[in-house]
Amino acid sequence: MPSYQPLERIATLHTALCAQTVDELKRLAALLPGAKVPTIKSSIVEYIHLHLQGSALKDLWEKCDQIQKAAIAETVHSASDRYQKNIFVNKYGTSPNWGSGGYWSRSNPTVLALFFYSDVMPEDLKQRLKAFVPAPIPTVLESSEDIPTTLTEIETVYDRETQSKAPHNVEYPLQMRETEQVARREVITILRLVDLGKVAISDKTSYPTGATLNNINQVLEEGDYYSEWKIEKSPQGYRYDYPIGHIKPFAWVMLLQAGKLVEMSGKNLALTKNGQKALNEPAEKTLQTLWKNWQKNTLLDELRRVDGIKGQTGKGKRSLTAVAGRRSPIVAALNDCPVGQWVKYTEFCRYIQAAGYELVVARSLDNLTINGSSNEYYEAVFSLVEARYLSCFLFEYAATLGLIDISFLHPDDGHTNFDEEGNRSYYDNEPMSRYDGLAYFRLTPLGAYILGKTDRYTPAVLPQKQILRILPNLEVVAIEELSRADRLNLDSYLQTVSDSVWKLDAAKMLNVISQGRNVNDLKDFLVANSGAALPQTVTQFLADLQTRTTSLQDMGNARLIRCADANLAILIANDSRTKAFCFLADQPSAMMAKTPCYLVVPIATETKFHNALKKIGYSLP
Amino acid sequence: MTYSPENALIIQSDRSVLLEVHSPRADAARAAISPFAELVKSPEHIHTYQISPLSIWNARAAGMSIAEMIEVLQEHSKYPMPETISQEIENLGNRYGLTTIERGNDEILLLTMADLPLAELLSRDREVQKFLADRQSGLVFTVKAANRGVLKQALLAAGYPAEDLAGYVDGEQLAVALRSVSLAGQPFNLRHYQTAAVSAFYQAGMARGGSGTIVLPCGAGKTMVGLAAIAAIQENTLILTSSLTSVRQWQREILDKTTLDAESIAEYSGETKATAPITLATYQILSYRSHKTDDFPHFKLFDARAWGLIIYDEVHLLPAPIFRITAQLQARRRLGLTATLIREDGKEGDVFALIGPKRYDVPWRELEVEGFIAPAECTEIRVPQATDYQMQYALAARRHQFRIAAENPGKYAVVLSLLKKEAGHRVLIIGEYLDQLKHLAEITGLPMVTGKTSQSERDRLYSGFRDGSIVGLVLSRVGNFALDLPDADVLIQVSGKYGSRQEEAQRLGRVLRPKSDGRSAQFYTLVSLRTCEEDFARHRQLFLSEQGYRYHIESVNEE
Repeated sequence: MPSYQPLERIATLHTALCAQTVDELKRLAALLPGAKVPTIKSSIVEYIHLHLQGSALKDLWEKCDQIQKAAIAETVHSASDRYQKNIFVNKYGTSPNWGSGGYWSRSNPTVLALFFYSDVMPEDLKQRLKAFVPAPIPTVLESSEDIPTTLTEIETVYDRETQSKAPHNVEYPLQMRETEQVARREVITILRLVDLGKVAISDKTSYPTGATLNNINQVLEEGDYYSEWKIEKSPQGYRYDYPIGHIKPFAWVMLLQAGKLVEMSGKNLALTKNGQKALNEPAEKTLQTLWKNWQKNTLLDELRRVDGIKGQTGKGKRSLTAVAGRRSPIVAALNDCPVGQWVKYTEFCRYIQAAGYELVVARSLDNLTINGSSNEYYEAVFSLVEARYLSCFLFEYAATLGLIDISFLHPDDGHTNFDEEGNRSYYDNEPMSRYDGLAYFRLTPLGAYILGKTDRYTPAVLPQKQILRILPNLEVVAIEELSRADRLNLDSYLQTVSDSVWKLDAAKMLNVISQGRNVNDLKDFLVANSGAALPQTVTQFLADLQTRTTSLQDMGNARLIRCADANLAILIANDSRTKAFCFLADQPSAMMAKTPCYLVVPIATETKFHNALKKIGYSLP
Repeated sequence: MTYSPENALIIQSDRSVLLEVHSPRADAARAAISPFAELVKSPEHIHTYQISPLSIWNARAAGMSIAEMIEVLQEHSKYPMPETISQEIENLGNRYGLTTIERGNDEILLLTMADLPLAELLSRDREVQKFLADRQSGLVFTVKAANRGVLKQALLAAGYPAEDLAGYVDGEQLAVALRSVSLAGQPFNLRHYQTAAVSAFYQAGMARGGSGTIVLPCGAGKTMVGLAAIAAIQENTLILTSSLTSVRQWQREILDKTTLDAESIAEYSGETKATAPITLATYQILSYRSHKTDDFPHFKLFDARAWGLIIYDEVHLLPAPIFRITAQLQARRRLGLTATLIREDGKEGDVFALIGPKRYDVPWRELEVEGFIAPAECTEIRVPQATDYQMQYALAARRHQFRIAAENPGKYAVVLSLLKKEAGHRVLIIGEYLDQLKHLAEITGLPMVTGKTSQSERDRLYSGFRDGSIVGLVLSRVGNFALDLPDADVLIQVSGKYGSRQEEAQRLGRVLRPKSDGRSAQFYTLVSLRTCEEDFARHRQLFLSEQGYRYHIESVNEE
């Protein structure tokens, strides 16, 4: 809680004026047109009050410069009576001219000071101003159709020859990921992986285990975001060394848990009924469910993923706001983003403040350690905590769900996002998290649907490309340069033969399918990228594979009950009280001794079976 | 060099080269790389070539420089060529010719090394060392003429292939020419690819030529290439074939298309053991011996006359003893003929080293397009098993499952319906299992030929098939090779030898001879649904799809 409660409302101008000292009133009165300023406080109050009415008020307003008029307009047309400095500065890039001589007791105030008292505009004055003050310009979010392949920043560099600092352009390398189509396929893949019992989490933290993260990473269509980052050094020549770790694999496991599509079953996660249902539902529906549930979830505070902010689980927790409430301002701001347009991350940070979305993650930095220092930073400024939280939320969750495409730097270069002064050195700006590199994002059509900006989503038809040739001898040949994603996709499904040749191989495909991937996805990919129908040998190969992989179905755990003789087994299997909970099993050859018969009891009906069994006079030890 | 989308070649770092056949520059690229890259497979759209040490050395032997090879690749490559490729071509290419074999006196050959370090290196190589007799000087070693083949093998294995300039011994002269009108009255001319194949083999009589293998699809006239080689060399020739039926075919063709008379041709077989300027023998008779510790009595045939040329028909079937004797026949010209170099025993390297490198091949599909072999349509028919048979299959030991699937009784009805569909055509039914074939012969009323059928009976049946009095034959494995039944246009394969690609190719070859009315051939393979036969069938089709044949897959509806 702040140590004082700022004034939010002043009913009348008169009250406001009366609350000023005579000196303050004299300085305000001096700003008014007129020959002589009264000397008695009540007279000065009347004098000022008179000038702030009717045409005199309009004249005064007209004396203001454009920024001062904007400050008045913002308050006049706002629900709040306060001048919102943070919003204003982020919207207009500067503060209005209040005058000079100290913030609290300005010795030389400007005319703007006549409109605000302790940053609050009196209500009657506000009403009078409303009659002629036009509405302020709307808050604009800048966006662009395209983005460059590098992020250009101006840095000041010390020049030894001239012995002075000079501005210098630095080009930071960027990587881009389109997420929409990938997310639609990946969510199904990960659900299948869960169904196969290959996703384990810690029962204490609910975080995925290391082995699980690696497993998921292997089945991700394009790998994790940074898995193909090959550049070793920053433009300044420093070796990149921030340990990035897993982003997407972690996000999927947390999203599925928060979405209640999975639940703990022993040491692993298993699909819930909703999870099973999701396997056969359109992926966009599932993604929307995950997004909605994520906003409400308290399973994970995204700030915990920001490694540079320590002390979050100790006393520092008191300084943090409730998790669930933080996401709605971000979602509202995302809603303002134009679909298909790139927004610079720093611009979005500016916008979210300028538009008045109140994103507060830390009320103070009390008991929090920032990048190893617990006393270097005094104020919980946006760039220090909120912006870090925001980057994690967007990078790890919104992008993974396919709401936004992203373009990112190496986290070691991410200081460009948070360096408000623009002149700090590399070492002053150690990355605080793996998300520091988020540079641009673009709301996808899927994102627009999930956010409710559109009520219908039509998956984009994969553009027909002619980059592959599918040969009847089950080989796939790249006849054009392949993107990394295409190459990874081919590598994951097919046997690599040489630089440009892959082969459909039954063993490899069965392995891939056992990891949760789908034959139809491969088929669609091959058709879309070859621009032709598949040869019949290939179609038949895939059809055979499909048959073989769908001929068996895991019906879950069951108990095998051995009966003393075949008659008893048949009796129990056919008795009206027990037959709904068990069925006869074929005799496994290993258990053929004395040819007893076996019953199978699904775990789900085990208790009912036991109870019914007792009713017919038998019991299991 | 930058990206050139109009170019046809994609050069890969494993030295394989992909040729996009639809590219406007595909023909030029193909012609440019074929001297030093071997065609490995040629399915629709993309053909794959492999640049191997052997192919580079072959090109060097033919006089192509390393710079030319690299230039050709750079000129036709779509993407910048991987750096390692030019380095490898340079390294390997430079090795060729560092050792040469020349004729010395009498039975002595001279092996010359390019420099002293190489001479020391190779003279210490365990495999090379044992064939070196005396060191005449720092760089020259004497070698017994009989070791010429094995020495070349050893030098090749050591990575320093010898340039064999020792030439060949002259065989006994034989005046022979090809007829322009066959004895049967048909006009006869070599086709362009047959002429090219003979030129590539003979190389105008130079020492660099005279040994090698010609790969042509069944029905493309390999025998004619053999006859042309005999006519080019004009010396006594020993022709080795895979069966007596094949011996008779060669006899017929020689008499029909060359100026030789019947007395100039002899058959060395189980039935008669005569020799003549042109002698025909089978691998079986040559590799016969009464006990495995005995010598091969019929090897004396190789010395019976001064052979100027030995032709190995169906060279991919060459048995091991013939390989061994061939190592001692390096002074004779050797011509291998085959439809496929694939050997299921993986001994392709021995064919290269002992018979000679592949001198010529051409994709089957190209000959089909040009009309030299019949166009073929391949159809795989998936036949379901009856429920009780399915159970029998499921319960059988794994090693018996293939046979159960292959002998699926459901195939009989499919064969009958195919015969009905293909009525009026000349049909061959080929299978692996005699019981199945016997049953098929019974229900179709077609005569059956197996290994037990006497030669005279086989000749009678084949002759009846040729003249049209017999409309179809049921054949066991004997029908796989060297069976000249030009009018056969439908082949139904009811069972095969597991996943043998070679067998698949050979069987298709039975129906590829061009038909007088230009009709296409039909090749049906019957495969039991949802059995291991599907997997084997996939393996078998591989070869044909890599040759550019399109496979249709149909299913018989389950009742």
